[in-house]
Amino acid sequence: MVTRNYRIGHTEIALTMPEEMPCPENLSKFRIAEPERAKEEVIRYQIEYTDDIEGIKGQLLEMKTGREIYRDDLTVFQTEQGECRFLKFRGAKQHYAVSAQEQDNRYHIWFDKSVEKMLVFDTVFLAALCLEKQVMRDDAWILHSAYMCYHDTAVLFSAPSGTGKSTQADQWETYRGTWTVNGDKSLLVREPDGWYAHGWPICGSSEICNNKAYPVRAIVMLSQATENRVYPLKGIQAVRELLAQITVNGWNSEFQIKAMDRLEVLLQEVPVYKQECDISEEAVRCLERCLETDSRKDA
Amino acid sequence: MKIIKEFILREIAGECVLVPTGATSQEFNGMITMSETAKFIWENLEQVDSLEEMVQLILDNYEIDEETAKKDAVAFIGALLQNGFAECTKEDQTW
Repeated sequence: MVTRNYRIGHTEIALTMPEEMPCPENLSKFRIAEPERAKEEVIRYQIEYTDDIEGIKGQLLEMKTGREIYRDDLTVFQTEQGECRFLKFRGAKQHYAVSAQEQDNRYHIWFDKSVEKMLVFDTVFLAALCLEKQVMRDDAWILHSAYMCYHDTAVLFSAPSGTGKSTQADQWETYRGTWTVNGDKSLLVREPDGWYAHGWPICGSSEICNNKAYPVRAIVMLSQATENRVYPLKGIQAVRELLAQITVNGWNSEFQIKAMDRLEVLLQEVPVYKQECDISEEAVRCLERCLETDSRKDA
Repeated sequence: MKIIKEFILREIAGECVLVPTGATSQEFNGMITMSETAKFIWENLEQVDSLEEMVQLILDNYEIDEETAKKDAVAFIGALLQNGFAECTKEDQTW
């Protein structure tokens, strides 16, 4: 067994797992030599293979307290020790992983031996770590967004999958020489001097994943259109669109309330725009004018 | 009348919304924006025993006419029943 430490935003995790177990390459970008936070603040995972996932599930279900939340790819329930999750690929018959919280900051994870080769995929491996829950302890949350670095600030293009988030980020790379920190996700953190976007070890099909943090200049909610238009998104419409793109454990009301509290603060402090756009330099120009006008106002 | 789904009722960005939580979050997406009267009806749905009582409670608390109060109550409660968020507790299904 080997133990490796990682820091994602301000959240630190330690994974103890078989040395030969594959691990997503993107996660290695977040590796640190030694924990920087106090011992009790590090989330520790014991990870192993099993050829009896049904047996482990059965034992945990016997300890279940309260009801079960069920969806096609995930089952969640509580035991006295904490939260348990069974993970499945959509449409599959069998679960491929089980995660059981054993203490406040300790988790035990079992992967079915048959998925060994798939553990290099960030979504497969990291889904078992319930990272969205861990970062929320540090008041951070994950925004489904293409994270673009623009003049050392973060511009986050957010929208439902398939809208063209990374395509817009690509357009900026082409026409303005910006670079993409993550093609699909960013971690939003409220630091003492404002909001920052941090890197995230999952990047979907974009394959662009970097561990960099920049202050958030703007969040841009995208939608496809034939004419280019950018305007500020405010009030409940901004809440509605943003909340739909934040990773929230919907079954956990405490988590949801915290997310909404943070969202209210974010909306007061970060400009949120709606951009209706096509794929062209004009789309880039349209948003650029808006960003530059706002930064002149700030100055 | 009884609320049978799990929602968080809260104010955000100056609006009152219902956000699905618990098992309900796996059935419904998004949030429901509510008017001031709808919020009042939601909060008092389980405290009254009939539509007439609800209408009277609205009239006691808001400066609106009876017709509007009844229209608001029927529309909102109808939507709750239709979406399976609430169910009647009286045998004759009148409340």
